[in-house]
Amino acid sequence: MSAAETARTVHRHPLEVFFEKHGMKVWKGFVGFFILYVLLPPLLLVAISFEPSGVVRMPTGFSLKWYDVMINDQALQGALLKSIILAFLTTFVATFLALQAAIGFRKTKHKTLVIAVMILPIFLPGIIQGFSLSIVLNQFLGVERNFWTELAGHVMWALPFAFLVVLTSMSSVHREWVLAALDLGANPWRAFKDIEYPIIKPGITSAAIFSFVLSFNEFNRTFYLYGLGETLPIYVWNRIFVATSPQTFAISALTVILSLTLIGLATWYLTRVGRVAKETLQEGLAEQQDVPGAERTREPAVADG
Amino acid sequence: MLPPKSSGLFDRLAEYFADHPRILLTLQLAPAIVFVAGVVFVPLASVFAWSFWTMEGRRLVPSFSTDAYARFLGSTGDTFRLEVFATSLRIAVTQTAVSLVLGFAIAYFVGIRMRGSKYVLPLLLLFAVPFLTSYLMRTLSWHAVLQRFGLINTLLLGLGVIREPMTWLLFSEFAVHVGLLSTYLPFMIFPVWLAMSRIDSTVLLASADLGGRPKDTLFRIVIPLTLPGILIGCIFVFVGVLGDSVVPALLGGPGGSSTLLANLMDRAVGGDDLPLAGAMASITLLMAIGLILAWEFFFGLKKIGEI
Repeated sequence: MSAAETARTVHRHPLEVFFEKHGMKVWKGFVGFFILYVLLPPLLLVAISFEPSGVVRMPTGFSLKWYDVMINDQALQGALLKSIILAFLTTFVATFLALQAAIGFRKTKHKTLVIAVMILPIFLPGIIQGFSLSIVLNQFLGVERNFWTELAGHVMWALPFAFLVVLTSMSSVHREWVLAALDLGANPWRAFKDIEYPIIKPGITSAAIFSFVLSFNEFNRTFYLYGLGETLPIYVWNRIFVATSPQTFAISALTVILSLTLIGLATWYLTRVGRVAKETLQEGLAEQQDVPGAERTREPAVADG
Repeated sequence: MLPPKSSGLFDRLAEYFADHPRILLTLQLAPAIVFVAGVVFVPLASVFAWSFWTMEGRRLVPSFSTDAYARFLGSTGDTFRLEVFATSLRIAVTQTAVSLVLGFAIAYFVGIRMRGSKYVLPLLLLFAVPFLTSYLMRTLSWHAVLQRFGLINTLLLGLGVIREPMTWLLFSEFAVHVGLLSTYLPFMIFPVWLAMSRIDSTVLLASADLGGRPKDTLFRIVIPLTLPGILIGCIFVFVGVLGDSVVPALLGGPGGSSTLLANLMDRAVGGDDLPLAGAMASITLLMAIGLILAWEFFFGLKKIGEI
């Protein structure tokens, strides 16, 4: 260390020196605190579900009593069943629409328009979307709220996210691969099925899982659109101000655990997108080298991890 | 090598579509576009219209009346709604500012400091947990933390920091902020992190090589390149808070924090005062649209596809 540098060190602000030494610890503490902050409510919810007294407070004991009540609660079973049916339908419809739209998006010239229509709903308040649709249906079209209006509400919530996930996974598909398939005489369906689909399959799966979880927990829109019978979040809302239904914590705890498992799965799948693309590329390269006289004009771009 | 000829339904359809790519494209895009337009954009556009209509019994009747807006502004001498609006705006702006500072710092740690680490994805996943778990129960859980003998009071009493339990923690504007932040912080972290993850590592290295201190790199490179993500995050939080009726209802208390704009809209819909609900919704939508147009103006919507 030269004399000049030593001199500079001496004159530096003590805070600067402190951060140089302990910066990483401060960072970890800071981020750790906010992870805890954000995770505390869902984790507490699981803890509270075991509280014997049924009061919303820090658990004082361990009891499975409310799980027992939950299992025997007819209304809750109905709500659970309805939520599951809706979530499955939403998964199917939203993922299908998102996939078609994403494929279309890659080809269309009107990219701004398509992306605007697909993504903007995320930026507008859900409760306004919910009651404006319900009022249009009710006042102008004479449609009473029913199962299908509810499904529409769930699909409109899940669709933008499903679209984004599928679109992201499609960025691993190089346009040339599809063009090559088409050049070799494959029709668009074969090109999709044999080239694109295997690569984006993890993306489609995670879009489906996301749609399921988003639908399962949807509240803002459903509140204005639900017909006969409660969904799970509506069931919870209708009892949230009544102190005598602690079984809502039991079912919510189960929901949290289920949602987390599914999301873990979805993420694991998503990380596979890059890997599958890479493997496909390597297989392709291996085959290319086997073909005699195959011209290699340029190195194929390596897919992003 | 030609692919084997097949006569499956999909193949025959595909042969047709291969000759008519425009029809295929329309069939692929139309369902989603028509659906979203029908269930989201048409109803939202109609809000602006029927906020000027009047109620006859329980039915909306076309007319041109600014009565709903006048009542919102306090024409009857009752400025309650305007006060709620002011409180909501203040809370939304505060939330946006706080989550921007915290969310940016967290995104910076994950996106720049932890770059390339295998912990990046798990870390982000932890922040995504609230987004994917029951919003109502999550909010209700804060009761156990903030109440009279909740987690915080018990802890502080035990440590001897306080002698009496603090009663302002729950059913207060403080509780509303705590609840909102735990819901909306991830909405800031994700877009900002996404924008940061797009910054080429070589750019950061170049800055350091040229003698830039982390502070210089932050202000001259990271922040300018992250601006699109920052603005998206701000829109998410600001609009989200304005449209939130659950947190104030469950955690708010005296002093106006239990009734925010979304609660007023909800009540107006419940009370069949649809023009009033429409007027408040229109004002909220106009603010959201203004922010989105600002984004479009500065960065271009097409960029969202790249994110």
